Amino acid sequence: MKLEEELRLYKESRSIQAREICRKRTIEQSKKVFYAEEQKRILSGTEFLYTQLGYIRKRWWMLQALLLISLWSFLSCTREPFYVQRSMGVAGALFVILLIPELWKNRNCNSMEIEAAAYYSLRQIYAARLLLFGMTDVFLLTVFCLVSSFSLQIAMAELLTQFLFPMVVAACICFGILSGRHGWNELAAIGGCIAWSILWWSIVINERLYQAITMPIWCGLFGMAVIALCLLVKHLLAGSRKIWEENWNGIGNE
Amino acid sequence: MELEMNNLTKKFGDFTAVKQLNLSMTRGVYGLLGKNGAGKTTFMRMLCTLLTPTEGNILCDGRDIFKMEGEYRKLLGYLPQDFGFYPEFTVRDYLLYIASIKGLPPAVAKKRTKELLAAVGLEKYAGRKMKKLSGGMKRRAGIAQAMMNHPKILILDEPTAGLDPNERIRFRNLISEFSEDRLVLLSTHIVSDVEYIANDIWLMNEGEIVRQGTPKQITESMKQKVWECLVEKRAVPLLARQYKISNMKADTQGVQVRVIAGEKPAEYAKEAVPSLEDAFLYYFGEEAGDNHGIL
Repeated sequence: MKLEEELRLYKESRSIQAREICRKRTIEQSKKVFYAEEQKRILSGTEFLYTQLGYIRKRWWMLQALLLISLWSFLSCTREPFYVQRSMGVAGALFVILLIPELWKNRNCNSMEIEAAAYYSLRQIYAARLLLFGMTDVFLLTVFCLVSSFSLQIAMAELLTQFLFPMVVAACICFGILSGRHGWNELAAIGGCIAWSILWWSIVINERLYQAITMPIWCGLFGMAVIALCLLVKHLLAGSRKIWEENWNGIGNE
Repeated sequence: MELEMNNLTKKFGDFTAVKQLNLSMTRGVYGLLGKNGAGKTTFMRMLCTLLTPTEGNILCDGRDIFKMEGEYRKLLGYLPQDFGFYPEFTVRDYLLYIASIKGLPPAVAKKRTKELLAAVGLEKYAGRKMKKLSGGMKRRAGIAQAMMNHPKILILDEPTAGLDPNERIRFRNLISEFSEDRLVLLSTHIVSDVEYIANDIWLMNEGEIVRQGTPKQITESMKQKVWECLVEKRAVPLLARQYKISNMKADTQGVQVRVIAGEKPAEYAKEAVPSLEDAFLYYFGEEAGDNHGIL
């Protein structure tokens, strides 16, 4: 006890108080060393992807989610096959149209020149945005398909032919226009998707034509559409290096 | 740091925008002067790897810049003539976005953004949306983004467009300060932007460098080409049809004209001290005999 008491008194008498000035100096030095180390490194690919996520306007994802919720609500209210066919195809095209503002953003804002000359160039910026959109949209669509399949008893085959197929074709139109040499604006893409939507509508209305296309053919068409989409995305990324070569203000800026 | 251009050529179909440039750049400020359509922007875009040369190459310390990819772009700062931004961004957001695509880690980006906002005088407007800025402020934000990554090579295409005289002076001082251990290429129509800060000036016309040298060398090459004379007002149109006139000043006795000509335009004309602007007009002014001979 006496020893413990003595130790306690000794500890109190020897308590160390850091001087404020030294503490501040240590903090400043630590900051300097930290910045010096940070300046030596480049933002990693994952960090870059994360920062791009921060710059995408989330409203378009929210609208896409809202669209799917609205579609689910509509489908749950009606069981008429006719309405199911029409609404899903139109919703598919609309789902893609909601991507267009973000995809065309840097073109509309004329920021591509600075982006192309950066460390993470235009190609990588597009790739990052497409990856983020792809991941989010695949997630939203997966949830929608699973929920619709289980709650509304809609067959996966029907979702494939009525919703996913027209959606992928609309996406092909959109990316085809974006990667084209003519530098068409987003209205052309929106117009293209709407035109496809009308064409799809006319196919679906024609019951005889619709029934004539069997499931294997639908699957084949869907597969071809997905391959075409992949090729168009690849073309977009490759073409981002050649934007200034010819028709995109080739010599017009002089 | 050395940039070398060897037989650099760029063709768009049948049109040759840049013809066989053979140039070398090290540290310091290079002024690229030329009128619209001279090939300046095409040349600068090739330096920034936005365009690939049709012939020739560009080497950075002996390495082809198109093979260096991100390693070269890491060294680069670029302000295009017509630069855009995402309008919903604030000034701070914009600079942080540029920092992210230039590969700066977040802590460095924040510190650098703060430094640059102070350097270009936009601290008070850091929270303002880019679309709400005046033309001059947008241009300052553009210069700030070009300097974000401490570039070793700074390419500025008409950077002072839209800036008032005070801002142009501020910009000039900023570039001078910045160029101490860097390479800066600056294209402009405004001769005074480069006259006082450029170590070397390139005069570009129809894709070729027609004249290059220090400002002093270029003005000295204009000896016996710049004349001043006092003429009657009615004689001015005739003079304008024959020669390039860079300046006219009416006074009580007549009109004091400054003529750019290879020979003395009149017996009583006196040789004037040439300026860089005279050289610009000599190489790029309208041809004699045009209705627009008065510049």
